[in-house]
Amino acid sequence: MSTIKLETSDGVKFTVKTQVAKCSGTIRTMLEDIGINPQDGEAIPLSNVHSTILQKILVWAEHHVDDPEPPREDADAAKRTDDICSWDEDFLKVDQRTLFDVMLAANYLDMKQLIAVCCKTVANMIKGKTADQIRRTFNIENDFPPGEEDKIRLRNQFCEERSR
Amino acid sequence: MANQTAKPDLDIVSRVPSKVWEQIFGHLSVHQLLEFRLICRSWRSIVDGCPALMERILLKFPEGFVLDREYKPKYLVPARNLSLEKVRISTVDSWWTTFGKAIVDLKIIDYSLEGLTLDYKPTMLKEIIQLKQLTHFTARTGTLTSEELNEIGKALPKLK
Repeated sequence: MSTIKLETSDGVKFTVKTQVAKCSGTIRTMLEDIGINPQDGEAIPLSNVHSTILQKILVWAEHHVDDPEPPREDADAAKRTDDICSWDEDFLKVDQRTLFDVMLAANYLDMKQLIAVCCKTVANMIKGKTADQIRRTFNIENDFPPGEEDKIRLRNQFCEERSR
Repeated sequence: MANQTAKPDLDIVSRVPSKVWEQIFGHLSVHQLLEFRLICRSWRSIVDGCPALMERILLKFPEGFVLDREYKPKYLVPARNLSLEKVRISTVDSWWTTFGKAIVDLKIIDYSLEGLTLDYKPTMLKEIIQLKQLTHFTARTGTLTSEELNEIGKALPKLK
């Protein structure tokens, strides 16, 4: 079975089944378009991914490597967040930092299904929370000058969901 | 000390590219999107700057609202659907040029005009270059004349 080597930002080398590595659009492009030849034994550098995160992502890729292409969802189906499979749900039961690191790495590696499931997980963390609760959840600083939040809130009142 | 444990998270949230936030926000209701505009500047600009999110929002000026030269829409949500029903329009200032550019669906119903010259309609409507759908009706003057429609149609290529 063909394998390739990947090297993470902290210099750790992983030997990975080519098929698993190709879950990443970024790696696929490197292999197919740019013509990096893994047979040379040279590792593909993943300068934005730490070894602890790559290890986790490879577990996900190994599990999902035989997944069929997902069907194109219509807009309403795509909005759902309650359709995360239980394996993925368990996989993403990690601290907030790791979840975000996985999401960022999935984005860098262009792994659409993994990004999608991370986004749904983060959306579920935000759902139903007020601005203040969200700030506390993600430790975001409110950088509006005093009073501005109320003005924005007032303008928000003019808005509603567009009916189709 | 609390600050030290908190810092990495602050860092990581700010590292998430807006494209990914847009995907996350896409899963949430309009009510929730509006809440995000209150969180901080960067979240507000992500929400406001994403056409797909703005397309889900209808901005509806309340009945009797006055659009005149004094009106400064500093905090207005740049929604892509706008309803002006029973709104009093005396003039739209330069803000309309920027705001109008993004609108894809406009309803102007039973509005009243105060001290406007006759050429206002084409002028105001011509700015809305993305417009795909227009509902225009007043009890007093009825729909637009065919001449007006013709002129508007020329200015708005995407209008169905």
